[in-house]
Amino acid sequence: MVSRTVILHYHLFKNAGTSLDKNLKDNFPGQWVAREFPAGDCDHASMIAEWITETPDAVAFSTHTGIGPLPRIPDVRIISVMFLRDPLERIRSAYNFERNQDTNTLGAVLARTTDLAGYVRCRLALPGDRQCRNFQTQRLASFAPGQGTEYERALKGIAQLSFVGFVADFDGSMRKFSELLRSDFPDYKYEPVHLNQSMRHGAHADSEDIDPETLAILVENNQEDLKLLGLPARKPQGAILPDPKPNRLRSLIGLIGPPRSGTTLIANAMLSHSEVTGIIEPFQTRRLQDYIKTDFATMLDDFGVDCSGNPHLIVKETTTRQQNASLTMEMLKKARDRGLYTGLVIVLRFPFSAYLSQVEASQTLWKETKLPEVSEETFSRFAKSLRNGLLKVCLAARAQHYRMVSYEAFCKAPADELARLMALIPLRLERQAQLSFRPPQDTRPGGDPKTRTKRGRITPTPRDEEVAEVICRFAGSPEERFCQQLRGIVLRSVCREPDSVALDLLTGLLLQQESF
Amino acid sequence: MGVGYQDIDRNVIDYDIWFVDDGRLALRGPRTDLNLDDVNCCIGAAQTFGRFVARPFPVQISQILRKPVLNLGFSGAGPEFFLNDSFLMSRLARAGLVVIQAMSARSVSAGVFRAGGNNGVLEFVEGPRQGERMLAQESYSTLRAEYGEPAFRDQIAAVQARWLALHRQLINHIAGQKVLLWLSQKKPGDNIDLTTSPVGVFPHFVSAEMVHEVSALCDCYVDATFEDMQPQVLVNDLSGMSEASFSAERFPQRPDRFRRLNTYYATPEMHDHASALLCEALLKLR
Repeated sequence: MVSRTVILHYHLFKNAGTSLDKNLKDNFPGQWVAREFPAGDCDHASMIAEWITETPDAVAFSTHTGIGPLPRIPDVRIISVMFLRDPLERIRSAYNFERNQDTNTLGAVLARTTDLAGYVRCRLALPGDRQCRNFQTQRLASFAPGQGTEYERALKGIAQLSFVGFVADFDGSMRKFSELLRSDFPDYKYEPVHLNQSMRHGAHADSEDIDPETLAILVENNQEDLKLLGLPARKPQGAILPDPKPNRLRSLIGLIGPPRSGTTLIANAMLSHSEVTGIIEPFQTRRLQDYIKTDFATMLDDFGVDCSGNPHLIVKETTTRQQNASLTMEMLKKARDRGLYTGLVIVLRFPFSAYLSQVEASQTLWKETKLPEVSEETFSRFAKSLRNGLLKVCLAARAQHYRMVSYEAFCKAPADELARLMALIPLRLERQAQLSFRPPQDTRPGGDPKTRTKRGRITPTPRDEEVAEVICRFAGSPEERFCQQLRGIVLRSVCREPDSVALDLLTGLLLQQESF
Repeated sequence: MGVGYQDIDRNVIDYDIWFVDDGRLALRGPRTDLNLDDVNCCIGAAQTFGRFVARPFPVQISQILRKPVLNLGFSGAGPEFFLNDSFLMSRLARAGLVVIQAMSARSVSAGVFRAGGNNGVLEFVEGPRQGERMLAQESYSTLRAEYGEPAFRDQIAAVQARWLALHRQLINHIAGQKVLLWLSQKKPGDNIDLTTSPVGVFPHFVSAEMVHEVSALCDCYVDATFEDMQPQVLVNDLSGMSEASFSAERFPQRPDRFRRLNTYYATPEMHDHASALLCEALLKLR
């Protein structure tokens, strides 16, 4: 039988713990206590249990240095709480805090004598110093000693804590924490307070003031902490997590183009960014089930996509069916109406090359034989499908921020073009990961199988001679004239002129082609 | 830096960022065909970039005069930023005409400060704060408070001299026509009122004499002072609703009443004003 309930705050340095402590002190005047514990191989669980037992009048216990596992005390209910924070923000905040500290601790001296880049490098070089390396993962792992990687143990550790809050949504977290406490402390109140915040400076309060090299080092050394911020969807029963802002979807980008235009290649390059996840051809791959859902949240569930840690979603589709285009544009519109940032990438390719590629795919790659051979009939069908699908996209594109890109320009200058497409989200190009990516083999069904055979190489398939033959064969037909005009736009406007000019030219061309 | 602005401002405006030099350098769109000969260039800081402005003056003069213009505006940039970038300098060397925005002198390395990149951060290179890096305004405040007024004044004189030297150097690299643009809420000289702010008004520390000296090296000088700049309400460019670009999450220090307002960067009206004056001047130059 529970005879006493206490709150145990594991106060991680620079994770809004001072604000939480202030709130605890306000709610439990004279009943808030703090204690620090020695580092090293100590049994903190026993020491904390002893502390709680020996301090019967206290309700709230706070410690910076206490680590797991959780203490167990007969008849005492311990509500454990910890706040997590974007590790990069935490490290920068720690640096700013320490450089203004009037002490001679290692961190303070280091922060006063070097810049953030130097501080990070020094701390990473110090054996055993975890301040700048998955600090939160290490602390959480202490709650689940035993087998498994540190990250796996950290996941178990989160499950053991009564409450995990997020600094980025401190007010929301605190409101939920207050609700959790009310069964034991009905009068518990939360009034927004934010103490001990390191100074932030207007436009430079984001990651822009961390130089790219340091940023890369920090990201590399805090991968597990970053992953941990994606836990809410997997949170085991028995603990409460708020819906933290860092894990919510921040962007939805539609990427669409005619089949065999390089959509899979470009989508895979974009999806290789560490903050991006995606759905490949949702409407095309589930066409037999007549999949027509356009609510992005439902789609995430339907396709088993976990956005935690990857706050930007790309939905790649082709205009193989006009309905694919309509549904993609509807999905974007709905998301934008709900306040989510959306954008559109339109992928084009020289149409004769796309046609030949479709014929080749029909013969060798696709399950359905759509264009079995080069003929007037298949070329006419190709042109109509091309025109109708693109028209659906173009007419709705202006409701989005959009980019146009051609397969040819992308292959010619992949870094410039990929960086431009990423800036729509906007994210900075992760050069190494995105320009030499390995196409997904199993995780993302759908898309062009040829991309896999190319193993991520960004190289165009040469088709000049075949294209010349096709042009000669169909010369003079309305479809050939249309494709020539489209080729002109792809060659001279897309990736050369402003996207608005290219889109207007393309829309004008498509609208004029109602006759075939 | 352009990607940073795009991230913060993406619900208000699409800067159509594009990249050159193998994905290294982010430029404000719309993109310009670099294969064309005789592309005009506009160099400057966030004002030339056109933060919060759908049609900044480089786009306007391009459309009005029907000539491609490369917008080389970079947040916090000073002359050193351009001089240290071989790609940019090669473009400027080939340009038929370059509009040079009078950039801030606080962003140059001189005296006790070394400028860091193009982000308006200064590092103390001597004195008790040696090695510390701060935003420019904070740096000058600290200098004034801790190093004393004479050191503060010496610093201003040092950056002014350096600014002039760098502009001479920059202008020497430009073979085409050169236009100096003054884009500010204050007339040259009036911007250096250091009683309420340690850096005055943009372009910081640039005096009338400095403008006079640099304009003498150019083919034309355009004074686009716009003293009546009103705050710009930030509006979502697709929904038409007002937008709190300066969110509490990212800008906790900013007062709530300013979250939907641009009170610092050149507004669309200022860009229209500058564009009209520039077009007039450029037509005379032809």
